[in-house]
Amino acid sequence: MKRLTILAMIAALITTACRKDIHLNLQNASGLLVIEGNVNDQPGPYLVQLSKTVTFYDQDTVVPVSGATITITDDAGGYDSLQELTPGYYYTTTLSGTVGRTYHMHAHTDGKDYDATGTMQPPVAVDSIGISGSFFSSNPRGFIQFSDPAGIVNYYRTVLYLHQYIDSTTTDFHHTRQHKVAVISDRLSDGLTIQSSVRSDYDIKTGDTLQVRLDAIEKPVYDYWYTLNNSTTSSNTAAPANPPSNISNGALGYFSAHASTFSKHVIYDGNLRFHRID
Amino acid sequence: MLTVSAQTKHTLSGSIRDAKTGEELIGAIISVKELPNTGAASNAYGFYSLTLPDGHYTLVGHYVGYTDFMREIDLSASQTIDINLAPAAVEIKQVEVSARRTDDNVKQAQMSATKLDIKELEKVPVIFGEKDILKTIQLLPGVKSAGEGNSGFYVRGGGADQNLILLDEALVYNASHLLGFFSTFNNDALKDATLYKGNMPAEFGGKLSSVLDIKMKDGNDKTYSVGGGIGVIASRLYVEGPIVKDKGSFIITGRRTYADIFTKLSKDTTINKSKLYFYDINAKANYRVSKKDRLFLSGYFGRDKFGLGTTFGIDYGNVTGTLRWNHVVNDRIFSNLSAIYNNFSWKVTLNSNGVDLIINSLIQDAGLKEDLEYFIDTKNKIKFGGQSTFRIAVPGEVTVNTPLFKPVNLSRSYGWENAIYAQHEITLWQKVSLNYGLRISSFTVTGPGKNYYFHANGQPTDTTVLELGQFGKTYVNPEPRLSVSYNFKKSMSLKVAYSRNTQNIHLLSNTTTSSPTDRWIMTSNNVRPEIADQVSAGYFFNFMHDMFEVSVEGYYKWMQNQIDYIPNAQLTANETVESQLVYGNGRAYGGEFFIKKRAGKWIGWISYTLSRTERRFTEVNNNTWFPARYDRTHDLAIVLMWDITPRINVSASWVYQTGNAVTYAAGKYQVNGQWVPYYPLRNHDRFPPYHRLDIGATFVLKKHKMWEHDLNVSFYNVYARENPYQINFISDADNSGVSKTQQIALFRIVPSLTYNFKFTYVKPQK
Repeated sequence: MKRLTILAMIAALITTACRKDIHLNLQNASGLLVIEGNVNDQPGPYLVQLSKTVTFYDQDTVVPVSGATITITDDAGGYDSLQELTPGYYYTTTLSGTVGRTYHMHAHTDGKDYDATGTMQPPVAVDSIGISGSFFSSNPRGFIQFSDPAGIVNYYRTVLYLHQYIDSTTTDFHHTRQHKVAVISDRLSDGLTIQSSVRSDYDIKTGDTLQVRLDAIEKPVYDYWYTLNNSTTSSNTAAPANPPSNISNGALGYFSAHASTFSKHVIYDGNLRFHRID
Repeated sequence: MLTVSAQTKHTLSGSIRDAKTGEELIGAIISVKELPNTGAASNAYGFYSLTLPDGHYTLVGHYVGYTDFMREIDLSASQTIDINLAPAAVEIKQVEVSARRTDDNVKQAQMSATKLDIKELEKVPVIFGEKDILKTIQLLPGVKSAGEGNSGFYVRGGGADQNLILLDEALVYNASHLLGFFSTFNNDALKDATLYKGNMPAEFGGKLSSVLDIKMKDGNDKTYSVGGGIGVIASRLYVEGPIVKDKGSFIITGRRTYADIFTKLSKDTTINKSKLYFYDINAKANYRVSKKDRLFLSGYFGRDKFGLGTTFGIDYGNVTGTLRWNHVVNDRIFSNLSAIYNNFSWKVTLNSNGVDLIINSLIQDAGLKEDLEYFIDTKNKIKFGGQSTFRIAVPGEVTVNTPLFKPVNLSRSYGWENAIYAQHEITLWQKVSLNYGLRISSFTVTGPGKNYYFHANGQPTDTTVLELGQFGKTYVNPEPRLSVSYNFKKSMSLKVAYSRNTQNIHLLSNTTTSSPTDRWIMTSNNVRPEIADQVSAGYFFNFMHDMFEVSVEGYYKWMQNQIDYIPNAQLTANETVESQLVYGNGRAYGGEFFIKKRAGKWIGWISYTLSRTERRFTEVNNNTWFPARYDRTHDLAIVLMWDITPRINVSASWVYQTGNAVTYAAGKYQVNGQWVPYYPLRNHDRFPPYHRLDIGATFVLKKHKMWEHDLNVSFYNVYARENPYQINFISDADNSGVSKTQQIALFRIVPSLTYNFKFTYVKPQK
């Protein structure tokens, strides 16, 4: 239930809620290790990123963790030792993600070992991408539609690629991957056609080009994003929680092995309609 | 006639009533001038019984705000005397009359209990000018507010779902309207309310931390009257009058808000089709069938409706109904039998992109309760009885017209709760009063239904299926209760008390206060009864002829089988919701200080609580004790009400509270290019302190036998303190790469105006 929206409306009716920036004396939890790793069924290389937390009021600058030893192995005998191409960014060299295989990531840094495992789930095809008006905002929302395989438990992550239209001369269709992602569980819709909103960092405007990627993920990765999406901003939930990491030894972040599918590219006509452009 | 004790003793019994309206007075005192320290108090139905030796006596009837009643009697046989007390006419001799108070608060063994004066409460300034009993009790020691403008409350470290809120004996599950801003109790309908902070007598049970026992008015049985009020948020109207003069009466009160009238004026179709209102109706009727028998039928019906255009709607509320039969078995035994029904239900409708979705949820109880009071003599009183309640919980049944979702039908659950109790109030050696008792409560999981057994990591290991009428697991809990007072000096006493309470109905809520979609679950194979043990001790002292009341109380409470959730718990539409729960303990302790001036031109009080409330769960904060969100170390309230003239009353209240224990971000990191806050241990930070001043004034425009009306003006949060309701950890939209903390406060200053009127029909004098 969008309790806050309801509250906000009531508050707006009665008086105007007052917002102001305040400075708090926050605890310092900088220097904790964060690992984010993804292996998918698309051509590699795949990225494992290592960084450290900073204090909340610090600038948004990633503090990379360099010099770590990272390997990814699979249950078919595959082995890859990752190369650090830029500080904190470690790429695979030979690995080719295959559906059904179980991948094991091992990282060694600062004298500690971190491990995570994931099995690559089979891909689920995207049927279509649509757009609808929203009561809660004046901007339209994109949604994705696909058929959920019946009889098995599925979890999904959707990632939006949005190319913002600047003017008619812009012909560059290089899409910008949106950082906000949405996750879906088929708990209430097993075997049905699932329609679900995608999340975007920016509002969708006339002329924008969109594409959605659908990742078939495992439950730990779903739980990670579900918690992250539910507790990022507010201190009003009963207990804001950190997303549960599936990496050992207390590292923050997640490791995911998943298969991805993509929607067609569409362009928004400003009238709650998309036009296919390829 | 039953004569138990010595042949020379006789019993006086009867009812104590308001002479003007015929309303029975609860807790009125009848004493005997010739025998100091001898007296009786009227019970919840105004009945009293006083057994005395033969003799000639002067009876004195006394009740706060009423002129004393005096009558000389020759007691040579048992007799029935009804006592009619006349309300003190405020204009005439205000000081003389209302200055007389009693020292019952000191003498009685009962501790940690507060009887609330409904009339006094009408003077306390509140938000939007809606007089609200649940907000006023938050100004008492040991009672904490659930939040800004909220009617939810916490008593001595207990949760918001651990208060037994009774309206004419029926349990009210969700005592709030409009997400908590208003309580379900319309002041016009209320007669009496008592709050017990944990050390309740054995007759009450079912919730851990408190009892708020609210009684509705019976209605004027002498003449008809109509009254009401018009406020900024809501309007109220009531009618009361005799059914048959002096034999029966009725009262109907109603209230409705009208914020939606303004939304209708909007040109925007989404807004003008939006709904936002609540209403409630209280109705009660009673009839004296014979001298010894009286029937009461009372009910409450309230609904909140909220809708956004045609897209989304929510509709929720409570229904309660009580049918009671008072029977005077003989002049020393009083019986009450009640049949009670109550429910809380909500319905959510969603209509979006051609998808129609309806979710229905309900919890309902039906039960019988019998209470017997035996007034043995002036030093002994026994009360015993029992209660049996059937309960059904429908956790949310979904109907959809679309192939996009599968309807999830969560199993209904059924439970049967029983209790028997007995308690004895006794006075020993004049100075010591004792109230001890035992309540034995049981809860039985009943069919039809499926009960899961779980092992540690939340997967169902086994299910048992119960057919209709089959009984599953039963929990039995003895709940001893004891309180003692030692009246070592006049108007001075020490009291100690111990009690155990259990609770078999549990609220699951992700939010911090009550929400319309609150889900209640019952004790089951996995969920054990919650248990609380409380010990308290206090010093009670009245001075200046009972004009001032002082109390200092300390308590320690230990709670078992408390419920919390695993991280990312899925509480909605989840058949195996019990797999999302974790169980732990709670402890709460504190000191409460209270001083009140009870009579005179100005009255008021200062209440201060120093306390700590903690929880411990294996799964949270590495199994260490952590503060509950509402653990507020300091909690201070100052309330003043001043009758400047008989026609003008001004009032003010100021509160100061330590901020809530919350979890602030202590760092941040990047995942998928997005910055995410990092939270350390739960509830290790504090909101800024909360403080607020409210003022109000009532102007009596006219006060006449037939017609009276007044105007009430109030200002909530006079100095516009922006108390944080929420603090967000967000990226600064204006400065890329910068994080900031943003506070949201709900209200600055909120003015309000209410006009109240009352018309009473008085037969023209010839």
